[in-house]
Amino acid sequence: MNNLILHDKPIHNIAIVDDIEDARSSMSDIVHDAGFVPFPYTEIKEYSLDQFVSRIIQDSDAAVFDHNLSVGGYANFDGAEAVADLYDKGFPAILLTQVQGYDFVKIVSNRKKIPYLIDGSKVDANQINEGLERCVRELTLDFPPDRRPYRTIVRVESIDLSESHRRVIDLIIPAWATSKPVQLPYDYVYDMINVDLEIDMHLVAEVNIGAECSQDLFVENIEVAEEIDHELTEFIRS
Amino acid sequence: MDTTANIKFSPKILVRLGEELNQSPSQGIVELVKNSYDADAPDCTVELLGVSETGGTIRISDSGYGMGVDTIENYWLVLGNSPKTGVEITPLGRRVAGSKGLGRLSALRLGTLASLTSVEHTDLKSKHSITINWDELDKANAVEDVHLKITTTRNAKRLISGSQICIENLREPMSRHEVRGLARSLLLLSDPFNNTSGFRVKLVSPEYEELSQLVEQSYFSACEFHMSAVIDEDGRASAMAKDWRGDPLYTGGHDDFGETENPPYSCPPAKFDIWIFLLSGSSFSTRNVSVSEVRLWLQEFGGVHIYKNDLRVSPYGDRGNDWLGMNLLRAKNPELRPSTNTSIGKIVVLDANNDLRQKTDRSGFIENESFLEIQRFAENSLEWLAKRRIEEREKKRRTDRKESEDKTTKERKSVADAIDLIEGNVKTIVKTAFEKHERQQEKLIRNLKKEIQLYRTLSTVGITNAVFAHELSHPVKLISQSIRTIRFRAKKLLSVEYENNFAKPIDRMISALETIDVPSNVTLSLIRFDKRRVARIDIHNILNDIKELYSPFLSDRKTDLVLEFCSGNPYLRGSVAAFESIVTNLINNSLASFEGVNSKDRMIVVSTRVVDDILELLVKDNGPGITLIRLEEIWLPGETTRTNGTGLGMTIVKDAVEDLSGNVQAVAIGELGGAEIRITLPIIGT
Repeated sequence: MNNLILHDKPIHNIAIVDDIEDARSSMSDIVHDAGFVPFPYTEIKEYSLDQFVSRIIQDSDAAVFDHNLSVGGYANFDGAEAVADLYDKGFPAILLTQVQGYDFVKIVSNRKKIPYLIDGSKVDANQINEGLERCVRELTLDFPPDRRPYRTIVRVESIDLSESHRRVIDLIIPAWATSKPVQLPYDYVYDMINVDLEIDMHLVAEVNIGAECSQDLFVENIEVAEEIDHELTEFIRS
Repeated sequence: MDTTANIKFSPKILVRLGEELNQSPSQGIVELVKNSYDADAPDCTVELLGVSETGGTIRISDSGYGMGVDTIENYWLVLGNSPKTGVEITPLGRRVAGSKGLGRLSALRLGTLASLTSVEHTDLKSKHSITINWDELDKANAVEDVHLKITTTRNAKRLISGSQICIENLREPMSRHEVRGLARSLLLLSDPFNNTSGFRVKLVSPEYEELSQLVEQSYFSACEFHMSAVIDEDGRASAMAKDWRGDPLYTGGHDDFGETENPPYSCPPAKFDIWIFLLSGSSFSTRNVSVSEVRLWLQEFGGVHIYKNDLRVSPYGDRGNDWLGMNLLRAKNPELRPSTNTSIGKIVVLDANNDLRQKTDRSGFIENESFLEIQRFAENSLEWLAKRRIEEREKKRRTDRKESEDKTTKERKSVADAIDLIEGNVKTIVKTAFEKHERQQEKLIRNLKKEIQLYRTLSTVGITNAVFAHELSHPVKLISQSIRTIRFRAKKLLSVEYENNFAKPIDRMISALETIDVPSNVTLSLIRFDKRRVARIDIHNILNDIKELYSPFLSDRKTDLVLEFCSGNPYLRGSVAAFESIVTNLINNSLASFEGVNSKDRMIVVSTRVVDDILELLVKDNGPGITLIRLEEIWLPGETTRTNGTGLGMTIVKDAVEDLSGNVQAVAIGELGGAEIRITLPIIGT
C-alpha cells in the first residue's frame, strides 16, 4: 500500500476517468502497481461537471483523468476542466494527454490548476506516484520550483485573430526565455484584462518561470502593465 | 386503546428542500419573480439593499392581483402541492409558470426573516401581512408546531393591488458575480429582445443597468445570417434563412430536414430564431458597429435560449451551456457553423399542455420525448442551414471558375479583333507575338494545373496520414502502458532473473514503440493549426524540436543528427509549418539516402550562420550524395531515384523556401561526402 497522505487523510482510492474501456483497465493496472486501489468509471455521461466532481470527491481520494472525454460522448466535459475544478476544491488529480490530441485552449487556460500533466503513452506506476506526490505538495502550498508563480513582465509579440475559432497571441516572457514566444488563447488574456490587446503592449502576470518547457508554463492573473519608458522597452526586447 | 399520530416534519427538511434542491440564490429569486408573472403583474421590481454584506435585504414588489388570506394560507404557505399545473391561463392570458414552491422556499430562507404583504385586487381596502422567523422555526420540534399569524389591516392608500416580499437579515453576502448572474437571469427572463408578454422585471443595481444597456444595443442587424425555423401543430418543420440585409437566401420544408426520413416532431409548436455573426474585421468594415462591441454583446447573451411560453428556462443559453453541441460542430467546420460565441438564438415553445416539465432542482427540463424532439428540431435546423451554406459555397466556386473562363475567352476575342484592325506588316508582327504569348500562357496554366494536382495528391496523403495517426494513437498508448506495467511487475517479482532474461527484450519493445510513434507525431505536428499561422519563428528552437521529435527514429537508423548553431537566436516571420517542412524533407532525404549503403557513422549536420540579416542554413550528410539524377531535376515534381519515392520532397522544399523569400541550392557531393543543401533566408533579427 502507498503511504501518501493529504491533510491527515491517507490516499487510497484513485478514480480513473478515460473514455476507452481498455485504457481504463490498463490505467487500473498501473494505479494498482503504484500501491493504490483503482476506481474506474464506466458510465458518466449523465453527470454535469459539477455533479461528477462531487461524486469523485465522495468516492475517492485522488484521480487520474484522460483529457479527451467528450469526443466520443463518454462525458459532457473534458479532463482539463475536471482536474482544474478538483484543484479548486483541494483534491489531487493528474491529467493525461497525448501529442496527438493536445487541446491547446482548454489545457493552457487551466494549466495553473493542472499540477501534473503527462503523456498518456509514457505513464507508469512510478510516474503516478510522482504525480500524486506533486499534487499533494502543491495542495499543501509546497510548490516545487517549476510550479512556483512569480510576478513578471511580459510583452505581446504578435496577435492572430484571422481564425475566429482560434484567436491567439504570442507573448514573450523575458524572465523565462528572451526569444521563445509563448502562445495563449487571445480570449483567455482578454477576459482577464478587458482591454483590446496590441503588439508590443506590456502586461504583468504570474508565471512559473522555473518551468522547463512551454507546455508546463502557466500565465495567470494578467494585468496591463503601467506605461514604461522606451529605453526600458528596448532593454526588455533585447 | 388506539392513539392517533401524524407524520411530522422536522424544520431541517425545509433546509434540505429549499437549499439543496435549488442551484443558486438567484434561481430562487427568479422563482419568486415568476409568481409575479403568474399574478398578471405588468412589472416586478427586485431591490438589493446592502447585500454585499451579511444582514442585507432583498425586496421583490409587483402590482399583480395580490393575495387574500385564503390564498396566502392555502397556496403561498403550502409547499410541494402547487395548484398550478402549467396548463392554466391567467385572466391576462398568461400560462402559469411557477411550480412546486420549492424555489420560493429557497429564496425565502436566504435571510432569517421573510415577510409578505399583499393587497388583493378584489378587496383594495385590506392589506394582509405575514412574517416567518426562520430562526424560531428552526428551533421547533416539527414544522407543524409553529403557528404563523396572517394580520389583516386597513389599506390606507387603496390604490392598487399587488404583493411585496421582503427577505431580511441575509445569511450570506451576495458577491458581485452573483448579482451580475441574477441581473442576467432577470433580464433574459421575459425575452428582452422581443417582449410580447407584457411583463417587465427590473433589478435595482448598477450591474443590471450595465447589462440592460448592453441588451438595448441589440446588434441583430449586424448579423451575417438570420434563420427562422418553425414546427407547426402537426409537428412539421419549415425554415427560412435571410442575409444581413434581410433578403431571403434559402427556404426549406419538413422533408429537407434530417438525414433521410424525417418523422414529424412530437413536441409542442415552436419557433427557432438564430442570428449568426462573422466576427472578422472584413465582415464589419461596412457596418456601423465594431467587432469588439458585438463580441462583448455575444459573450454576455450568446447561445441558444429556450422560452417556454413567455418565460426563459435556464440553463439553456447560459455561459458555458452548449446544449446543441454547436461548439464541437464548429470546431470541425469553422467556416460554416455558428458557435455559442458567434451567434444568439431563442426557441420559443408554445406549450399549452405543459409537455416540457422542469426538473425539481430547476436545472433545466426533464429530458422527455418532447424536450428531445425540440432538441432534434434545433439540431436539424442548424444542420439544414450548414448544408445550404456548403451548397452555396460550392456553387459560387464553380460559377467563379466558369465566369473566369468565359471572361478570358471574351478578352482573347477582343484582342484578336483589335489585331485584325491593324493594317500592313505590323498586323503580322503583332499577331505572331500575341500567338506566342498565348502559347506561353497556356503552358503556364498547364504547369499550374499540374502543380494543383500535385498539391491535391499531397493533401490526400496528409489527410490519410493524419487519420491513421489518430487511429494509431490509442493502440500505441495501450501497448506502451501495458509493456511498462509488465516491466514494473516483472522487475518486482523476478529481480535478478528479470535483468538477465527480460530487461533487454522489454526495453527493445519500448524503444520500438517510440519509433512507431514518430511518424504519427510528425504528421500531426505538421498539421497543427498554430504551426500554419504566420508569426515570429525562432530557427534554433524549431531545429531543437525537430531533433527531439526525430530522435527515436534517428537512433533506430543509427544516424547522428548534429546541430551546429551560430551565436544568438535568429528569427524570421513566417509559418513554423513552412520551415519545418523544409528541414524534415531534407532529413527524410538524407535518411533515405543511407538506405542500402553500407556506411558507418551515419551523420546529418544542420548548421546555421548569419551574414548581414541573411540566415544560411546548411543541411549536409555523409551519404552517397546526389547521384543518378541531374542536379537541376531534383526540384521537379515526381522526379526521384528511389523505387518507392514520391519525388515531391525537394519540390516542397523549393516552394517553401521561396514562400519565405529565400533561395535554395544543392551540391551533389558536399563537405561531408554526401548531399549538401544550402538555403538562405532573410531574417528579422537574432
